[in-house]
Amino acid sequence: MSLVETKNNTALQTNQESTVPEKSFRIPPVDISEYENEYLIEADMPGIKEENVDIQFHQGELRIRGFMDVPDEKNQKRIDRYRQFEPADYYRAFRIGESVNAAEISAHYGDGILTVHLPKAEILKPRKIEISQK
Amino acid sequence: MYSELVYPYPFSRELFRRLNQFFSMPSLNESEGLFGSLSSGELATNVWEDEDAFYVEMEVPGIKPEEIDLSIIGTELQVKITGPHENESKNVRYLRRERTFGNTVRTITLPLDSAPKELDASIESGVLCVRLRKPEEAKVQKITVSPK
Repeated sequence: MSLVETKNNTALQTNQESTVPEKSFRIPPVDISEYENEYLIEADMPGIKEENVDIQFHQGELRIRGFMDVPDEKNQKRIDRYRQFEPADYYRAFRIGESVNAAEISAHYGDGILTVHLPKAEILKPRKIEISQK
Repeated sequence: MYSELVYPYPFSRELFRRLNQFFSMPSLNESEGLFGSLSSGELATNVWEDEDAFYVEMEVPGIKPEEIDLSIIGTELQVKITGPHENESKNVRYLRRERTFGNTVRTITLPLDSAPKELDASIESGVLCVRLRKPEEAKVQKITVSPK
């Protein structure tokens, strides 16, 4: 499967805006699926609180961010034995085509997964056309 | 439907990890001794200790407490996870799949001579936290130097 869905959109684009986080961030793995009436983005973003999730849609760009709370530094006697992940913010952005009804985008966060619902624009929804009798 | 925006920076540790994972090379961080490599499908884990206990933190997004089975075998902690389960709906078409599914078993060997004393575990926002209290003999014994 191609990493970039090109069917309805342009090729990869680079963002020239200054909205990219300046500090180090993690790129959450995502599944993007298509249903009859919507697209769904599910992103693994464990370790953050629901109130620390920020989703923005601006000029055709969907940005998802998760802010990680700074870990408790009071435990000075902590000795790390093995580390495979760091407490860093999450960030990922997608260019969304005109196939989505931007006003109806919704999201929820639970069990470490962010789910974003992107309803299809009316023009893309399947429509049954009745054949009228003469 | 979309295209993804790609940024040349910052060159985060996570990016290193994902690149290493992709090319199946040992983690560059391994040379530092502290950072382990992560093979595909493996759940990211941190292990640390203080005076009283060992702490295991494992990223388990989408996993319910009842899908986790923890057991102590000697000085090893075994974490068995049944899930997360794939969406089996026939009305779905995947445009991108990066998340990991399926059952996992992970065994963590603790640097102890005898089994840990107590274990308690919790899940918060997709992170499993296990605390294993050290047996008395494994704790650091403080000796006070008294003046003559």
